[in-house]
Amino acid sequence: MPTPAPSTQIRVALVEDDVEVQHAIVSAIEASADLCMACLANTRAEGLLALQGQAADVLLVDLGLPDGSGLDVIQAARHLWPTCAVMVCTTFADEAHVMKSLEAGASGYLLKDGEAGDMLREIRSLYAGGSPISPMIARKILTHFRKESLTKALEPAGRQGNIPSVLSVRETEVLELITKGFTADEIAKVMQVSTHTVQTYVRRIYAKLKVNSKAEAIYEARYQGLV
Amino acid sequence: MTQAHRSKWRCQGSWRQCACARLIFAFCALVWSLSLAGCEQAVRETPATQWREAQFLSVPGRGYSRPPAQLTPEFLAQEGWKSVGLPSAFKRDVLAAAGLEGQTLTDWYRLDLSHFNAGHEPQYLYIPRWKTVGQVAIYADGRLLYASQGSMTLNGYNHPLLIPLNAAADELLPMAVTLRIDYLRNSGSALSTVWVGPAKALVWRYQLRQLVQTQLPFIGSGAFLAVGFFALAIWIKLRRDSLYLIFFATSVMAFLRMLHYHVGGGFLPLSDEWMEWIKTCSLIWLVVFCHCLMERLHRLSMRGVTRFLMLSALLWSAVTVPGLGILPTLTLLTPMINILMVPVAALIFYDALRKGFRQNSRETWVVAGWLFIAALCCIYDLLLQTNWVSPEGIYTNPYAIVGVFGVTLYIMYGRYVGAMENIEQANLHLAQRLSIREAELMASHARLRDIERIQMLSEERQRLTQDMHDGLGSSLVTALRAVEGGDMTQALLGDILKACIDDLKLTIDSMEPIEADLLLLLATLRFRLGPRLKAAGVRLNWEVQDIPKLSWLNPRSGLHILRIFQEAFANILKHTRATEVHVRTGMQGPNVVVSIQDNGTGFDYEAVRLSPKGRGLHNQMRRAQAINGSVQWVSGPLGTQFTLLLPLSGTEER
Repeated sequence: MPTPAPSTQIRVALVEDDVEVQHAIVSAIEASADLCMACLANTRAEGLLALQGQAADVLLVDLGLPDGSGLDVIQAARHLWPTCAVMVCTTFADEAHVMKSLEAGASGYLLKDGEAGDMLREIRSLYAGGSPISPMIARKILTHFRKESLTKALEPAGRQGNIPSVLSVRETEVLELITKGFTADEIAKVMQVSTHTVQTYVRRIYAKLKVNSKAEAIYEARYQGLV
Repeated sequence: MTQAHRSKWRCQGSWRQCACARLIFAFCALVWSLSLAGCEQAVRETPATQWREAQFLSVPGRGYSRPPAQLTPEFLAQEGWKSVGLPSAFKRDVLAAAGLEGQTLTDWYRLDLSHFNAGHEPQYLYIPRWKTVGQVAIYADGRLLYASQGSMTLNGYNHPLLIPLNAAADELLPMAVTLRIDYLRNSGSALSTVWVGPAKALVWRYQLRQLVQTQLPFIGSGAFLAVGFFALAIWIKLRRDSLYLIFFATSVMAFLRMLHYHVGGGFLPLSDEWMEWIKTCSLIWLVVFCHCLMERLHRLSMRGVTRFLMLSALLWSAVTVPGLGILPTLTLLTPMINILMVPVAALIFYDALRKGFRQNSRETWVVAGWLFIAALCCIYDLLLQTNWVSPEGIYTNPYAIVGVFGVTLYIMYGRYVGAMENIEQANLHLAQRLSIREAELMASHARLRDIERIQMLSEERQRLTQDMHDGLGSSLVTALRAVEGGDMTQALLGDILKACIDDLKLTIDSMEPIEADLLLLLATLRFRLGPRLKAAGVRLNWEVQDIPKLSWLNPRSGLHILRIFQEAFANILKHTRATEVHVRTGMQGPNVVVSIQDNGTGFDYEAVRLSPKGRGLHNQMRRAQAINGSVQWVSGPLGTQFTLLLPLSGTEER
């Protein structure tokens, strides 16, 4: 969970090549009192360079950058800015794009066609530990972990030590309710917990997804000099 | 396997056979040369004397009499002794059999050893071969030294004799040795040359004779019988191949037939009659079974001949059973049967060979070679038996019979190697065919997949085109016309574009795999449209219940459902001024029901349906029909309930 920045404002970094979207996001942030822009990058290269600087609180990344995939930036951010919450900017929040981003290390996504107010709310919510999740993504994650638990059952020990690689009963319950169309508030009521707790579950599910992803394993191996 | 491979295989097979034959030949040659070398050395050291002449006296008698213990000097000195050359043989006096049956002759042979220079070593008498239906006795200076044992017929005639003349300490060599041989007139008798000498000079001769005359036939027939039992075991397992059974029967008959070459001269548990019966019948059966073997080996079908032979053999065996008394004693018939069997066997084998040669295989030539040799052996043995040739010779028939064994084994070996080769080829052929079939199957699968993919793509294209045309396209055209007309407010344009984006989002969602889960589809719809409802101040109550999976749900039908509800929500937002919406799911008979109830102002269904504004309703109905479902509206002043009914079980999409 990201620690609060020294200033009270949430520092936002943006990697996005579409000038209009850039403008919409930047102007919305600048108009708000509790958010401020930390840095702005137009390309993948600029984004990776920006990661060498001071860490922001929230990083917004577009996947389709002119010189490569935003996924690289997301992956690098996870290691260079470990406290930063990463969001992927997407038009459709379609399952293929979002799943890849989540596996790379993103904790949420931002719909480009959203109202300015919605966008700011999403950023704040993410910073506070919440994570948006669509029913399709929930279903995808359930399927992913069902497969994972099958293969895990055959292996004597999990790949990672501290983070368990299977979903808990409660986490599975949350995901199943999401696939049926219930919102976080409704789920909280059904499960008799707070909305915040439900959001924590989702965040934890995303974390497990990262650990389980193949991309992460390869990155980890390269990082440790295994590959 | 290619032709080259095949010929190579065959070469290897024959090479192996050749190698085997060479090995056996080399071994025999080694044994032979070693024994020859040993013999020569022995000959050089201590010579033995071969007697080619003896004093001879023949005394007629009536019936057999036991040899006396002592010969009187008067007897030895009587008149009538004359010189005779050795070997000496008396042919069968067949005519004598007619009138004077049972009349015997007793022949006496005397060797004078008085001038024999013996030295100090003990001397031995060695008789390579003698033959009679009767008894042989040997006297040294008139004292009985040896008398043959066993019956008159099985007296050990085929066994050479080696008898010490002065074995006891300080015993002197006798001055004369006298042989007594009694026999039936009509069966003749024979005596080979006689040797006197020290053990060193005679033992190897004796042993070699013993080996060739009795031991090798015994070993050969035993080995044949052992392999015969092996063949029997195979036959018990593989009943359909009678070749193995016939091989076994042949080996048994060969063993029985060869008994009389090495058995005898002792006390047998069987009477002479039975032994004779076995000897005769085994010969007949041997010929019959050889014929059957040939039939199988040449893969001929001579059922008639075989049946006739079998019956004849059976009849003969039954008629001649000793004790029945149907036929007179076999001893006298045996030579005739032997003679009779020669043309019969020749005829049978000639027929088989004639047919075999048409196949012109190496096997036929091997069999022909063996038959030729066997025929020579038969003729020679007949001559030997009837004393037409020197009695020094040995019976060759045992070797001819063991030859059957060799020839059969050779052919079976060839067959076995051939079968192995065939199996290998069959396997290879099978593997090839399998791989070809696999490739064909793969190709056909690929073709099918291609066709399927093309069909799927075409359907998907059609679906998206239709959707774009009805939804996104018409919305954009509306916006364009409005902008061109100049009466477009920014807010209205924004709304139209938002609707377009929603359209697109739902289109994309419809392409996700939803695994027949209608709830997931509705959840996605809520996820997309929820923010719009919220923005419009409409409170959404999500009261869904679990519903069974709809197996017919695919992207095409999924999009229809999404569009139906999109239209329903759009209507609520545009026309009803509702503040609360309830979404419910459930079962109603065989249908799945999804209902949306609002608390808006309601509308006149009939009026709207007939007006130009009713296009949306018509679209919903059309889409519902396309997926075998139906839509209902129940509208009143307190609100409207829109219901979609969907079939539970899959039906063909219209």
